[in-house]
Amino acid sequence: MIHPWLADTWQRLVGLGGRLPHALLFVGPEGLGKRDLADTLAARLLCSAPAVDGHACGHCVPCQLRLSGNHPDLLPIVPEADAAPESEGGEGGEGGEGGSGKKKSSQIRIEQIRDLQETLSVTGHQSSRRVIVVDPAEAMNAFTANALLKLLEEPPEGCIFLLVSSAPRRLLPTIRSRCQQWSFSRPADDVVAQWLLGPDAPPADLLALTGGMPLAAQRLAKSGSDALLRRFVKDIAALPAGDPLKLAGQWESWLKSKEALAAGFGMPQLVEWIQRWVTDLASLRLGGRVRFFPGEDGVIAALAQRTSVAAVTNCYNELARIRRVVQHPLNARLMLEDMLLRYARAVTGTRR
Amino acid sequence: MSYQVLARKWRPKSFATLVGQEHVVRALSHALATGRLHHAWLFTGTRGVGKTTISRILAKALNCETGVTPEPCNQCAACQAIDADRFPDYVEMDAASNRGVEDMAALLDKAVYAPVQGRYKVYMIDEVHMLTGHAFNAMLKTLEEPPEHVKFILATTDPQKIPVTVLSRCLQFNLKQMPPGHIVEHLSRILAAEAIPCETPALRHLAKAANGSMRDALSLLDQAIAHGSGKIEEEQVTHMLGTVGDDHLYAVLDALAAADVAALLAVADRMEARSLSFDAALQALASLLHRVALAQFAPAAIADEAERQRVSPYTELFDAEFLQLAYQIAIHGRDELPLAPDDYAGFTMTLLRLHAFRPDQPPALGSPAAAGGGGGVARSLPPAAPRPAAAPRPAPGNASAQPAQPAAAAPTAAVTPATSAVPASVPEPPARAPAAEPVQRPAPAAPSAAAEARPEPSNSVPPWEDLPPEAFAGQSAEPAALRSEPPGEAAPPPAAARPAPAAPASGGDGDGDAAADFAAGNWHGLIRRLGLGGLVREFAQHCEWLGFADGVIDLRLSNAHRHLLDMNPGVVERIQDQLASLYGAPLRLRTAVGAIEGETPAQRDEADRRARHAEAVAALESDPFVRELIERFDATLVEASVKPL
Ligand SMILES: [Zn+2]
Ligand SMILES: [Zn+2]
Repeated sequence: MIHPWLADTWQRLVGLGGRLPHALLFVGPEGLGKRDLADTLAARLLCSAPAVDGHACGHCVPCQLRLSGNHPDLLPIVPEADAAPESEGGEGGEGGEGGSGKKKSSQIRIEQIRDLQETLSVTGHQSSRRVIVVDPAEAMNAFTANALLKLLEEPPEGCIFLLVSSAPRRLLPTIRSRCQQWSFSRPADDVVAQWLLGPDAPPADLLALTGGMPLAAQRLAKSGSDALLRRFVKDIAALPAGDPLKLAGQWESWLKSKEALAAGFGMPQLVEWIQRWVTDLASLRLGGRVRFFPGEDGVIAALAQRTSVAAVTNCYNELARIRRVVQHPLNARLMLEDMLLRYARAVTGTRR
Repeated sequence: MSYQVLARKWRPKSFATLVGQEHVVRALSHALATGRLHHAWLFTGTRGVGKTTISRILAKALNCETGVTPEPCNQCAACQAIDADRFPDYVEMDAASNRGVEDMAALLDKAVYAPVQGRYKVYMIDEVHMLTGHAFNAMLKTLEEPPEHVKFILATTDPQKIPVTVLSRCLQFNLKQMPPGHIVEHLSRILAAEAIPCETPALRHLAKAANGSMRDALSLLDQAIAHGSGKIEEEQVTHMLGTVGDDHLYAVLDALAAADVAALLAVADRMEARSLSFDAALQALASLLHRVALAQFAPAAIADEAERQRVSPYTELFDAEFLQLAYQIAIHGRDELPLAPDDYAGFTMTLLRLHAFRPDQPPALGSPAAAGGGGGVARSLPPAAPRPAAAPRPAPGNASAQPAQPAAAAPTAAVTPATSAVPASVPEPPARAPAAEPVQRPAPAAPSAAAEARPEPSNSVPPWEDLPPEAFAGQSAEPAALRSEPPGEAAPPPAAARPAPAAPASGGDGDGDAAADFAAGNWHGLIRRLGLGGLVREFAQHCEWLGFADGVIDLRLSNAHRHLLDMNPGVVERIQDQLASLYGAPLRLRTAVGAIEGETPAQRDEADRRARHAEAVAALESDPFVRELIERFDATLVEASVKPL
């Protein structure tokens, strides 16, 4: 489907008609619907009778194949971890602990590209058209990316590559240079305001928390994160008066609680939220504005009064460093304590 | 039927239509016309400069039914088959996806048979640097004694990764990046042929953005045609390129000078509305700050007149120290962008920091220092207000040309200064932001100081990442640092400048003396004593010692390596000089070219090396853990680290 903020882009893509190049690269922050755009375009390209607005008809044979997930000429190249059907989340809960088999790769592996080469070396099934969706393109390491270069430059007749990336800087320049690049950024306020009135729209505070990325906000809303957010705000706002070590303990159990697990709320996300909180604080202290927690601007302004520029920028830097290692914390409790102590130090003056 | 992109549609089919590589075309044409054909060529150069294109033309030149010619007919069956990629004797192998020794062996096995249709079997191995060490070794044997009917064309964007033993057997051509003028011309020609109207300035923007790569230029042109629905207009192109226009950057400087936070943030909003890259913006901002600093130091260093005029007022607004600090904040901000909550936040935080650490009183706004009306001279002196000791301070003289080297830098981080230390050690600027507070000296630096001192891993930047030219400062302090060579894309150094990895032996073993080596004709030992590097050493290694009498040393260069002499005629003299100083008396070096009768040092080394390497590899490969690594990851990494001895 095409989200309202991508409507113009869609028009332009459809308008290209026969001039559509064989390799497109969609770049922009996460949560905008780049992949949806790629999928919708793929559907259009495979459909034998697209509608006037450019969308796939949904009825023809190729469309039915695609809708049943069996179109042989639609070739998604995604990391194993993303491709895996959500089968494990249901019961195991903690899942990973015992190591019930190998962890799914979050990389696109070179074998996937070799298989693709093989597949593409024989002609297509339904028509001469084949669509390859690579998402996220930065999941290809240098070897994998290099292996794709040749295909990307001179693909077999009828092949179209759609690459999706939210970290284009991590792509090989040789990959970028073979694609036509389309960039996206935060949708305009008026378009999103309209969308927020519709069904399925997330609450405004979740939208703000994601920095204005509608789909990211929608995902949070669907997972029930608004309750989590309320608790987070309550806890962190009360901290200057409280005990950071105690809060670390409470948060550690919080991360293991049923509602956190159900929402997929883990350490990375918690660290991200603290980082966003501190970003608002630092930004306000330095003369900027509150962006992620607009509902709490009063609290943040009061905190900003208590901190110094040096302390708050320092704290901002520390959180960036913590974020670097958050995927592999040695010890969750220690990480929380460390983080909250640093934060408390920043907002309670310099005495400690 | 999908649209054929311009880069493909307009791939040149003859040397005459190839743009921008005249030096290579001339050399190849001459060789083809005179029939002096080398058996292996290596084309190096960054992406999109024509490596594959030249290779295909060369394949046609060798196989055209009209005879070996610099001007293949493009009509005969052979020419057409090569263009259509169905010529049985022209094989393009992509080393990136066929890296292993089996792939190479499969290819070489077929090489021994005579061509099916053409005169020569031509093997084009693209991205050859991706081959594993085993694969290189397999190829080496064939490169040494190739069958008459086989020609190799190797191509790479990364010649540093190719073993010297392979390099030395190839005639190397360095393809140049296209100058923007060439690109503009070429694009105009194509647009004319495609009957697409265009505004010429738009093409200049495209050419600039293409960074010397014709393929990039053509991709961008495609994109511009798509965006402009059939015509090319300047405004549309700048919008499409997302070029962070200078206007945005100067707006940042203006807002900083005016201490106008709202204006500063408005720049970020305008950029976001146009989907411009904050990453590119920080890079461009750092570069602009650098140019302002340079203009302050030596206005003439800004070659472009228009730019000099535009930059000039800013030299009055900021002092040298702030410019340097600001440069570092911008660079650091860019490095940390992936760790920020999002790019917008990372960018605005960087702007806010610039604001927080701007000089309290810009000289032009009435500081006593500026009252004297001094131009650039006064500026390079430390300003009257005491600055914190830890703030990077330009060394007198050339420092403003290399802000990447903070004078006070810890040895840990030269390129990415641990700027996080900066905020901690710079005294707080006057609290003009929301809160009026009891002014506190920033003590909080203490607890984190230990952490700051650690070298930042700073590896969020991938190895191929472009660094701004300033990041390479230190090579030269003069305007050279300003040259518009696209960062990170600079042409690789000429082969001769590259030290051979094996070189450093340098005869340091010390035992025995040189005179004995001269007397015994121990050429192998003498080479080690000379400590030669790169292709000079390669040359020496491929000579055999014939004799030393009456002050004349006679060497014979192996036939197969005659090109080492052709490429570098001064080589004999260089070795002669070094031999003379080692000998302690004048002597003359004479080289002939011919078939080797005994053994050259290269052959001996190679035999030794193979034996030892085979042992080491065999030992390692039997290790199950290593086997797993080789299969799953990068076999070159593993093998290259196998060091016998
Ligand atoms: Zn359909
Ligand atoms: Zn011909």
